[in-house]
Amino acid sequence: MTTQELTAREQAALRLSERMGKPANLWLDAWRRLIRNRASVLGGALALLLIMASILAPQVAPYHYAEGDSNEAYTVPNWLIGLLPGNIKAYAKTGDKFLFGSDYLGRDVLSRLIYGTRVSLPVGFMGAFTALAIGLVYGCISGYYGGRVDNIMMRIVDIMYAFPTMLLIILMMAFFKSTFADVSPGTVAYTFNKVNDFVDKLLGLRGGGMLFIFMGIGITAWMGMARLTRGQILSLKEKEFVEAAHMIGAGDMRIIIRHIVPNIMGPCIVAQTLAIPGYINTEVFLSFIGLGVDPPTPSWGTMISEGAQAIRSYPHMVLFPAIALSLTMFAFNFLGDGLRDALDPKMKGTS
Amino acid sequence: MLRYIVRRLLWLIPVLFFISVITFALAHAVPGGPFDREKALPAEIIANLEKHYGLDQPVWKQYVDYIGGILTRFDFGPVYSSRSRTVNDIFRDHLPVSAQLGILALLIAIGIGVPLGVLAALKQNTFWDYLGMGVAIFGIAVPNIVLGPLLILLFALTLGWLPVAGWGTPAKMIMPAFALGTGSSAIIARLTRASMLQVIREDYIRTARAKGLSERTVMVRHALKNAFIPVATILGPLFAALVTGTFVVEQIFAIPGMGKYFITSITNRDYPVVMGAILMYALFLVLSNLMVDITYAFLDPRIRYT
Repeated sequence: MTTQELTAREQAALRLSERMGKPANLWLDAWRRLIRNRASVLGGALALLLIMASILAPQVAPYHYAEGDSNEAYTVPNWLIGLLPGNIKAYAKTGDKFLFGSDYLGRDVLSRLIYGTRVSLPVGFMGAFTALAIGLVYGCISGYYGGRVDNIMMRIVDIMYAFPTMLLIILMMAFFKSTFADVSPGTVAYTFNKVNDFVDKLLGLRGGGMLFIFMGIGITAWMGMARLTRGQILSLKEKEFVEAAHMIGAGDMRIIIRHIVPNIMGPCIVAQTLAIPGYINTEVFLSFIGLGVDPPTPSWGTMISEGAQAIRSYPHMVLFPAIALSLTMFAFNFLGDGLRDALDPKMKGTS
Repeated sequence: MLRYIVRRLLWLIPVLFFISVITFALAHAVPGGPFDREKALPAEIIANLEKHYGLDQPVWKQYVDYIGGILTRFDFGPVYSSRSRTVNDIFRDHLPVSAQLGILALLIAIGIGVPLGVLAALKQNTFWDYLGMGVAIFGIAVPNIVLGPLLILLFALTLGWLPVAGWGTPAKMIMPAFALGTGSSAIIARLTRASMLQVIREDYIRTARAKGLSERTVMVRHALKNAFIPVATILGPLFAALVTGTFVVEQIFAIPGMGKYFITSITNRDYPVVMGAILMYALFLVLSNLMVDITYAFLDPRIRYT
């Protein structure tokens, strides 16, 4: 025990001496704590793999996501047929052309899964980014200025909070879908459509309607963030270093941006990393009920929905997107937990 | 206490008002009437239909009529896609099924989550703890949209123990209820464990032990009651998750519930049904949130209701 303690102390001393003269770096320390956590390294590796797959989709995917030969529809891969219920063998087409089989239009399931990361991941990251951006600004203003401003701004958040979020998203998506479907040039809706086309082109998914999903999630995701930011600021703005900054004549903007925001970034990023699986799930849910991305863009939600309809006869169609979604959830949950422990060691073990 | 409840009930009025206005506005801002068909109807027929359903009135009048109908006659209006049925008929036929499913799932969520969380906390760092936390991670990473198909694959298609889909017999209810409840049970288990671990280190637990109470009494009467408080706070969001979960689970298991009908009517652009369902769900969620808050206040006497 003594030796262990000594080595631990020696290590600490070593780390300290390495750092001599250099300022303590929050991010470097956090990184060290993060890579010591095995589950989060695994999650991070998986997340990185998914990101790579989505960036390199055209290179990695064996076929095109929207083109298939209906003669090859419902092909079950040879290696899987033995694992499926016995009676399927009697009627199913088997083949080795598609690693994960093909769907009802003969499109390659694997390629659709790979391109599907171009829907899921941007939704997760954009959701987190929008929530962070809106929530941070809103919470900063509300918390820092306090008084009547705070009161009114927080009442608005309260009302928004009482809204059933999912129902609001469903309504908005139904609205976006039909309002922006087919419009004449010169209107607001037309501009939205152009931006949407641009976003789709950026992601390499023609006619996916991704912007509307970003908007739907963004509009409903920021309230929690605003509350968190406000709470953090309320406790920070009474601290001595803020007082000191006031003393030397720093303006409000400078105090917020240079002194307060860096101190609350940790918990905010952690909260949003942990929220990413939720955003991905929301998109999957929306696509599942037919309000998400437009076909033929491959969303995992659409794939699960199509697969669930054919589950009795061709279970392979639902199996792979379901597994992919679960793995993504695992990855981001582990990564989020690890980031929380790394950036905010005080929070470790809670919830 | 009474003042607190009254205040919370009054707070419902603006919330429900905003929900109804936004729902109504969004539903009516959608271009294209409900009578757009593949084959265009003659203008006179559309005009007559619109007159019949009061769609020729100004929007504010339509809103007042709609809300007035709900408040005075509990009438949620007609169904555009079917002449013989009203939204009320749909509620009567399909809502009970969803309610059954939701209640079963909630029972499963609490029935698995709480014991698992308590066991994990009492036997920390043992097999039970790892089992509990394993289930918790599984429940969080495997959403019902994934769990539903996997359950069908395993228990219905491969093992043949349970029917694939449908509703009505107990055997048909098992899989959907589990698919819906497991995710919530994971959240409950995690939270119960965390709060139980915190509570059993408190001084009053030591006091209870010191005055000679049996371990059982200490745990049930003193620890569990207090450990429940944080768990009660998440029941609100949990209800919301269950509601959205029913949309998915009913679709996967072909259950004739409100959620399945709701999705069909979105696809068919049958807006009175969509609106009625959203208002109904919103009312349910807001009321359940209120109930959770009141329970919370009851459980924790330290909370002041001002």
